Amino acid sequence: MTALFELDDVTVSFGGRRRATLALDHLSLQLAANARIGIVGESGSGKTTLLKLLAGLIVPTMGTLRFRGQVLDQRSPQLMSDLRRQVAMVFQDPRSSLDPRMRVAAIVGEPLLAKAQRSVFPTALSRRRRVDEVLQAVDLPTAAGRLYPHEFSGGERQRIAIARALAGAPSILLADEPVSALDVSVRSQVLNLLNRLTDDLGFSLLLVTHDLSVVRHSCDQLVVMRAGRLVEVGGSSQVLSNPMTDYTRALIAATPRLSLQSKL
Amino acid sequence: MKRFTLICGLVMSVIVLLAGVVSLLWTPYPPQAVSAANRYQNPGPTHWLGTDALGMDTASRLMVGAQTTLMVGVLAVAIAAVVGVPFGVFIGLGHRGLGQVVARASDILYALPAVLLAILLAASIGASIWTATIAIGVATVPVFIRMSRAATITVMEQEYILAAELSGASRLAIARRHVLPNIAPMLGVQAAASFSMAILAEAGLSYLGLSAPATVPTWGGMLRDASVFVSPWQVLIPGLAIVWAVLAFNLLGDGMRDYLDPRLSEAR
Repeated sequence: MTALFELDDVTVSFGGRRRATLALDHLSLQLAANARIGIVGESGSGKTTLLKLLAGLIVPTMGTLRFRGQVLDQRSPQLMSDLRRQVAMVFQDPRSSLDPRMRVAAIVGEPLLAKAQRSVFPTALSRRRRVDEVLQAVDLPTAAGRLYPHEFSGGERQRIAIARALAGAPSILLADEPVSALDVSVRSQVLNLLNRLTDDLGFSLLLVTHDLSVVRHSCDQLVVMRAGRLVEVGGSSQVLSNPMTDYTRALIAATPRLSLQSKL
Repeated sequence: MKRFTLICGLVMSVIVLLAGVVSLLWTPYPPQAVSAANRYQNPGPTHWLGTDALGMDTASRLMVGAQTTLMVGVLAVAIAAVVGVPFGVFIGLGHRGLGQVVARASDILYALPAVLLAILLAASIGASIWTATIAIGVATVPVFIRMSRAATITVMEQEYILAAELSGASRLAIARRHVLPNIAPMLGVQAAASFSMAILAEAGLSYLGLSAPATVPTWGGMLRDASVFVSPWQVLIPGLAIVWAVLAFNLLGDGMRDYLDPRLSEAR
């Protein structure tokens, strides 16, 4: 079976030629389809760049990226648009990721207005039905559609963001620190929701986090990154219980909640 | 306190507006009625604000003058916004090459004062309310380009723009759905501030005779007439009217900005 994404010696650098910053440094990695994969590392380790790369928002500076076995770059616009149609993203801070001047129904329904979705949702009624459907899927009442984002709590706003991500029926969900901006009390609710949706709808979940307890909670595979390079990869329980590198051990040691949660 | 500024500005602006609207239907005296017997009257019960060198009623002329002031202000700001905002949003969306060209052109225009444009237009097609309006409007375009560009850039940094891009929205759709609604409050504030500047500019131009013809009562024209035929009251009154109107729309702009401050919208 071909991997969902295959990175072969991928480098992504930003800035000019002289003072370029390497966000990804010769990274080689395979990500399986229909899995829940956690990507961990400190801030600045290239996690978010990796997500943007996988979302088709940026292209590798060097190296090749394959999507379902096919090389993805600027010369393959068809594949690029295929990828974009299949990918949806949940961002870190729902205060910034939801337009404050749009009603929730318009926010959640925005992906349905894209060219690629026009044949699937040709009428306003079909789009409204779909919006109601995904709002229900994230446990929000359909009446929520008439309100504005600021009328909701942080956890509810993240549910709205997840509903928007689901609207276009993606096969891959990218989540960039989806709970780190939320109150601790609602984190597990949102993570449980993501887990449940991944199981029910059968998409691939790629979850970026700096918090190892999130990985233990949600992911079956784990990718540890540092300074744009791969540190360790493997099944998440295996990596967490038997880390192979000092860096992973240090990360685990720096997460006190991990041991606390396993006791509870 | 914030509400106070807004309400002050609103009340003062409405008074100017009312003076102009009422003058279309009624003025205490015909604004052009010359009366040699009643020259240089001080403010009093018969002529509330006195009369000028030709015995024309100052209150009536002030009310009629508000029409010109408001019309030039509204049209000039409309020209500036209609031309400036699309350019500003367009370069704010991040078109590098063309953006630089527009930004530099806007800088050059910014250095041209309205008076120079007005003289230029007056010299080529003759001074009128329209040349004054166009001159003030064109000179205000760069203000709107800069402001809407800066506001657009701020909006474009938000994650909801990234989310929209990811969901396949075109640049045009992003500008329409996300950028314009989010910069609209700032544009409103800018419009009020520019309006007060336009009032000042119009008064200056009509003082210089670069706006409406001398027969049409304008605040700047009244000021000029009074300064020729030395008459303190008749200088003070149109002068205060200009100050009043400029202050009114400035307060309105400030009040709107405070009221619409995004940091307060969460609490509201």
